[in-house]
Amino acid sequence: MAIAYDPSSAQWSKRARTAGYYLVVALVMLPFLFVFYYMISTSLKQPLAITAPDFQWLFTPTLDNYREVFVANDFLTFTVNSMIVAVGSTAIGLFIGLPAAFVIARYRVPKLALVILSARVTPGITFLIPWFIIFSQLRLIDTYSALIFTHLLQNLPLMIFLMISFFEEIPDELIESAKVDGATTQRTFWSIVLPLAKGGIAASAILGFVFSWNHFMFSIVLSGNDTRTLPVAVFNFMSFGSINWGAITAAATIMSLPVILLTLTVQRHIVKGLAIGAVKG
Amino acid sequence: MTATEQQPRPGPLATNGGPPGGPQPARTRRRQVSELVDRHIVGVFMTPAVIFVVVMMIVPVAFTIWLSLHSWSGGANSTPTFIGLDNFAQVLTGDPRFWDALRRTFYFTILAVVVETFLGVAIAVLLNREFLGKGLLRTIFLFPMIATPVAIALVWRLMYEPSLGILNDILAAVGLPTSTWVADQSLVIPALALVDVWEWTPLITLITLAGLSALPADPFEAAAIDGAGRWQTLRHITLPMMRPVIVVAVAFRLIDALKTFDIIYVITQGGPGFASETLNLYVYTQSFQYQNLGYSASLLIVFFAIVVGSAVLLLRFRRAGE
Amino acid sequence: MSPPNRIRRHRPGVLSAVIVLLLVLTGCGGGESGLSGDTGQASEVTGEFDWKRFDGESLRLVFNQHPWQEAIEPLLPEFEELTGMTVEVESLPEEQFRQRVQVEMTGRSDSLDVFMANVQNEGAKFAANGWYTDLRPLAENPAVTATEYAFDDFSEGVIDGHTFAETLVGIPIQLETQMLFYRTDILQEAGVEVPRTFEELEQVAEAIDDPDGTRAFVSRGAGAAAVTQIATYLFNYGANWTEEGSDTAAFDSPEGVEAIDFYSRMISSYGPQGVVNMSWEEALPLFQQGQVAMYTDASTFMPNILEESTEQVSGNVGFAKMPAGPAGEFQTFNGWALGISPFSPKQNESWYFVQWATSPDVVARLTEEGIAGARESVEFGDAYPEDWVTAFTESLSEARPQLPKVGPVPEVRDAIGTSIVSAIQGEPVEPAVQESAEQFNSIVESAGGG
Repeated sequence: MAIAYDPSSAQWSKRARTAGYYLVVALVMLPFLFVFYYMISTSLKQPLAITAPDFQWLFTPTLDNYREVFVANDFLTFTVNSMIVAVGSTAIGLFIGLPAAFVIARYRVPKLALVILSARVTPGITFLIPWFIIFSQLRLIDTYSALIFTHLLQNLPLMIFLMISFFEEIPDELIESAKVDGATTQRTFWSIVLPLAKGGIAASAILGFVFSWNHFMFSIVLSGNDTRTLPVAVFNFMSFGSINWGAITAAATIMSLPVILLTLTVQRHIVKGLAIGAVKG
Repeated sequence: MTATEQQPRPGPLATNGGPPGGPQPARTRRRQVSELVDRHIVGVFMTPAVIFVVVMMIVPVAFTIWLSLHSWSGGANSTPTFIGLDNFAQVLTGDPRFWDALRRTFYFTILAVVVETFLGVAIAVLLNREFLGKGLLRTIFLFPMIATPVAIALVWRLMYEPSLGILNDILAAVGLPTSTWVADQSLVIPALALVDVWEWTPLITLITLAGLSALPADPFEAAAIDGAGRWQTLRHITLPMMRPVIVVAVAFRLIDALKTFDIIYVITQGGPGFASETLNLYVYTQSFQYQNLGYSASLLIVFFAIVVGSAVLLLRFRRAGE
Repeated sequence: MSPPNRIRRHRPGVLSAVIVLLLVLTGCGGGESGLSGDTGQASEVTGEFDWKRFDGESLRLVFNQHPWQEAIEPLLPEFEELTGMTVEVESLPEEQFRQRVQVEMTGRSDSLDVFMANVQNEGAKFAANGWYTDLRPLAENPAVTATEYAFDDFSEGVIDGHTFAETLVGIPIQLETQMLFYRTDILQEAGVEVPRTFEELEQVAEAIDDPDGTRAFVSRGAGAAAVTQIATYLFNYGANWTEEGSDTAAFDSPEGVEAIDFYSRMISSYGPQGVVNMSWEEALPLFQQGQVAMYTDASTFMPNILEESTEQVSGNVGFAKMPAGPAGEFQTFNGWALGISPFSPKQNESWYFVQWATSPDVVARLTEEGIAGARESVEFGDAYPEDWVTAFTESLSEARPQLPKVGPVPEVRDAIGTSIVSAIQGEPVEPAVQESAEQFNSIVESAGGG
């Protein structure tokens, strides 16, 4: 029997191809998602389930690990410490970074922007050791200020660069028309530019917060008993005899969750910022 | 439209005040100050940030340079002793551990970034069409970059565990021999690079995706009319047009990868032996484990020079490509 | 509008002032040795001894996660009740612990009071840096030391080992020798005797090794951590860390190479995978869970083995001295002590803790828990396995220090460790060991200046 052109089979093969495409996409996403699944599932497992020779896909979940993390250890304190440092450095970063980003965007002062870029490029450890020595002489180790300022140094360039992209998006005409009405550049900045760039500012603030929250190297050395932040605290779970993987993954989950959630709120802007940054080069 | 409405409407920030010197002297002074500020707006707005950065940078750099010319163990009763350029001589001629660390740093960086770039661009090309859940996907793709690196490193450390971890389970399930992963001196750097790839491929993908969506449609239409196949379009149109974007992303990633610390410190601490000790870790060990502060200062300067040098080279490369 | 230039011109002036100021500040700080002012407190206190003298004060203790630390933590409330002080303990895994203490010392933290010290490891360096308070004046001051303290109960040799340039840097809290732990049931089943020599050790290992089940032998393989373990092997093959009377490396002698070769062969052929990443934290659980039949490590793990292992293991474990080698039988020892930070403003208060933790009463109780202290008068109770007591006391009587007596011990440990790691991974042993020896020499040489 001659097979005429059969629209339904063409449709079917198209559907098959689409399904195939989704399958490929899912496969691509799998490794990225799997690690998170692994982290969370391990944190809900009992010790025996973790140390069992075969990977336990099915298991009885328990909140013991989380209980241990919060109750048996000062995790709340560490969270607060991380919060203080992150909020502090982000707030100051916004305060001094937004104006700077604005003028770089509007008045094209690339040389000074280069100075700020060099802070981004330099390895953190280049600052860490001299600052450690200096801070210890000034008795500033284990203080929030030491942590906030060093985190700020790493965050400021990033925040400024992100903001430059967003500020450049604001049409010149808007600013010019405000000037025509007799407003100072200052006022324009506060009353027009900032509200317009809200999304970008939020993205920049949250990224600044995230990078400070995640920061490890400075915190190991500069924080002490009173100011220990989360990434450093998690090492307390490498206990005697065997590593407490349940507690560690619980701690890891607790550490990562806030920043992931925060990012979700502004992810549109972050992606946009990346986009603008990339396209503008 | 009446005559009064012919006047231009006041803009959003128009002030109500009359001419300066009018019946409100306080406001005038304030106005004069703000005008003064305005004239120097660039200075005023830039200065705090620049001063902060410069001070926070210049002071450590100056101190490091000074310290690198001394020998000091940080002890309470020892003072830095001036030894001139001896530290640098030691680094460059008498310290094989330094050269090994340097080699490993480049090995790790180049391996990780090359894989990230290929994977990242490939995935971006794959995802570059409208489909259900694309927004969700983009969001999920942010997670590996955003999650705390220390947390991620710990999870990977567990995954790499020869007896407890899932990776060996997977190998065994498909009949392959198990590995000791990060306990194997020859595998440890690729294993660590894999973690970095997992973490940062999304960045390349997202940037590339963004760039792809900003590409003009014309060349593609023309190509389609000319009957160009998908591969041809990709090779001769898409990729060349994407080059500037990709190069920028790669450049940034490269600089950051040179400075990787968290992953290595958490998973192997530079081990086994020194097999995963990159420059960053070596400097850290010299400073905080061995207390050779003067020597580590000179290592810092060399490390700094290398990173900045690479950055400059990349900038040049990028300029040349345009 | 070109204000940037004006601003830029002003900045250099301000900046250079700031830089100069900071450099001057730090330059001064570096040379300050007036910190001895803190230890001056020690002799200031007079009067009757009173446990409650410092009632209301608080102390911060930084401990290494260790059997001793585990045993003393439940007793801390007693100290708090006795003295009215509160203690805050921070216990970290060994590597993080070491770094923590060093970072705080370099940073002259005034919030560190008492810390555990492994004098064989970092004693020389810490002492050279002035990071220990001299405890002798404290111990000899009756106003701050109880009469029952009995300082003489510590053997002279041990006290000597804790003295650097006239400074008593710590009071020993724990002594350990290296020991062989073995599964009596597995050896019996295979019909073999407890190995008394290295040759026998290998023979036994071969007889009992089950690649799919219980492996025969494990010991530390993680570079620097393995260096303490390998000492006995070195000595029993006839090698030494350094030449007699000098600081030159001697472990690259043919005997030394043989020893390192033997050690790495044992753990790589008869042991579990991934041993290059194993310190005691990873190896001990393997023995406890019955996954290996023989394990050499510090005698101090005996209580952990007896109490935390699976039933089959704890019911069938034997303890023996380290086997002899071709050159004879030497035993090694190591140990921990408590030190006081010279930067702490609470010198006397800290001494109260050190004193309490090393008092005859507390040491006796810790000994009951299986922690071998350093007091000569304390005897082991019946709870101690006989074979352990025999092995321990016999070893201790003839034991040599595990670590080389040089300044930069942590650094040379890393250097020596690389040859162990290379050997385990199957690389040629002799060149690796020779390279380690060269590094050893260059490290010691460049550290010579202080």
